[in-house]
Amino acid sequence: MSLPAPETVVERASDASTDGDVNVVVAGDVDTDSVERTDDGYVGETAGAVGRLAAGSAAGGTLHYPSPDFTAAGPWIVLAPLAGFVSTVATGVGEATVVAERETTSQPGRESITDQLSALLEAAQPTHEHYPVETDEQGVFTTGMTTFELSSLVVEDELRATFRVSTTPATRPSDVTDRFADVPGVERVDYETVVGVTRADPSAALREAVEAAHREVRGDCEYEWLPDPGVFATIPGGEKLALGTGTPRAGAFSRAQYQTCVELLETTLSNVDPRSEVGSPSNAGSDT
Amino acid sequence: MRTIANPIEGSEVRVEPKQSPGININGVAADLEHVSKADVRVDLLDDTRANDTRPDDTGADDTRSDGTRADDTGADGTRSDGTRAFVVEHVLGPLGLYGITAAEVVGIREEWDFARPEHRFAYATDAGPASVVGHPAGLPNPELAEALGRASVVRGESEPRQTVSQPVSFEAGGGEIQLRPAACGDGIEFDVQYEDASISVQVDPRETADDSLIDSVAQSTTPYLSPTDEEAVTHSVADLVSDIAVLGGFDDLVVDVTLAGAYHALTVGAARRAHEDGVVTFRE
Repeated sequence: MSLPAPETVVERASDASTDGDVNVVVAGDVDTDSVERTDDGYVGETAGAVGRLAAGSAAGGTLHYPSPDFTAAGPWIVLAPLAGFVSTVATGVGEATVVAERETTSQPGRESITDQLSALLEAAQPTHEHYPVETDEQGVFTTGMTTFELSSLVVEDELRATFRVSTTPATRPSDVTDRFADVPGVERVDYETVVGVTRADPSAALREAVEAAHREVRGDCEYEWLPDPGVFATIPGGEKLALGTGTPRAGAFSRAQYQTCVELLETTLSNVDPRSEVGSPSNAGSDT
Repeated sequence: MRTIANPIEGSEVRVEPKQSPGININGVAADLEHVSKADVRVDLLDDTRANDTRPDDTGADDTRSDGTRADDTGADGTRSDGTRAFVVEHVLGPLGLYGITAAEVVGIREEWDFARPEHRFAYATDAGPASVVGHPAGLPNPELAEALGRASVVRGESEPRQTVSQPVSFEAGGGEIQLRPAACGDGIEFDVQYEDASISVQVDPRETADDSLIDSVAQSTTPYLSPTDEEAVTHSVADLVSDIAVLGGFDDLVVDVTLAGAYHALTVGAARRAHEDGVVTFRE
C-alpha cells in the first residue's frame, strides 16, 4: 500500500467521494507543508492528521474536508489519534485563571516570586494515590484526570496565570479552584468551562459495525477517550464514533499505522448496512 | 468443589457461595471461552448478556456536558457491548490461592476513577464502575485474601483433576512457557522468571496455599507499577494461578515460564494451546 505524497493528500481529500452512507472527518489541523514522506511513513508536526486524512481518502465514505457539513445525513466516523482504540467520549476543556498578590523578597518571612511560581506550578501537577502520573507521557492515566497546562503568565503588580484545563465527567469547578488554595498570595481563582465533556450514544448497529471491524483487523476492540474535544464534540447528534491509529503529538505516522487505519475504516464502512438502523433519524441518539 | 459458607467482601468485589462448580464474575463464567482480552490484563466478556453493572445513582458522573444524562440503553434500546468484567486476575488469583473453585463474584465499586483506563472503557460503553473488579493499586486484592483467610470453606463433591498428557510449549510477546504433566494430586509447580528475578512455588488449586505465600503475593503490585523485579515476579504468581489454574482449569502441572511484557497473552495462550492440541486429560 503506497502512501500519497503530502502535497496531494489535501487535493485527494477535497475531491473525495461524497456519495457514501457514512460521514468521515479527520480530527486535528492538517498542514502538509510541515510534513515529509519517508520510506516508513510521514514525519512532521501534523504527520498524524495528514496520514489519517490520506487514510480517509483511501477508504471511502463521505469524507468531509476541509469544512465538515454538519447538516449531512447519516452517522459520523471521526479519524483521530486513538492508537487503534475506539471512542465515544471526549474530554472537555476549561480555563482557570489564578490571580495572586505578587510576593516580594523585601518582606521578611514571605516567599519570593520564584517560590510563589514554583508553588503555583506544583499545584498544577497531576497527582494520584497509586499511579506514576508525573511521568505519564502516554496519557495512560492522565487522559482521565483533570489536568492543567499553563497557557499564559503575567507578573506585574499582581501575578496572573491562566491554565488550559482538561476536564473529565468527574471534574467539579470547586476542585479546580481548591487546587490553588494553598499557593501563597492567591486572591481568587476564576474558572469557566470552554467545552464540556462529550459522551456520544451511538446506535447499537453503528457500535457493532465499528467493534466488529476492530475485532477483525486488530483482534480486539477496546475503548479509550479522546484527549481533546475537537471536531468530535462539534458534530451534532449522538450517532458518532471515533477511531484511528497514531498517538497525539507524535510527530510521525508510520506506513503500518496508515495501513491499519485504512483497514479499520474500510471494514467499518463495509459493516454498515445501509438498510440497518444506523444513522436513521429515529436512532440518531442524543448529543452531549 | 470448594466454596465459601457465607458471603465476604474484598476491595471492589463481594464473593458469594455457589452450589455448582465454577466461578462467575458479574455473571460471566471465568473460563477460557469467555476471555476477551489477555495481554496487560484479563477481561471476561459474555456478549449474549446485556451489561447490568451500570451505576444505579444519578450523580453528576453520568451527566453530560449540557446537563442531560446518557440513556440507559443504546438508541435502539439495546447494547452492542455485553457484560464485561475487567481485570479479573486480581480476583481469580486470591480465589485460586485459597482453593475456591465455586463462587459468584459481584463487582461493588460505585465511584469512578477515570485515571484507570478500564474505568474509561466502562464509561465509554455505558457500563458501570462495578464492571471493573481489578484492584485500584494493582494488587491481587489483599482485602479479599484477608477475608478468604477468615472464611469457612464448604466442600462439595470431588471432581476429576486436570493435567496435560504431554508437554505444551508456547511463546508470546517475548516470553516462553512450558506446561508439563504432573502426578495426580501433586498440584502445580510454578517456576517463574521475570527480568532479573525468579520464584518457585507449589500450589494446589483445590487447597489453601501457604499463608506466607498468599500474604506476600497479595501485597505485591503488578509489574507495570512494581518498584522491583522481585515484587513483580511475586505478583505474577497470582496471575499464573488465575490464568493457568482457574481460567485454564488445571490442577496438576509443572510450569516453567519466562515472563515478559504483556504476559497474559502468554499464560492464557498456553492454556488455550493445551486445549487446542487436545492434550488436556482428567483423572480421578
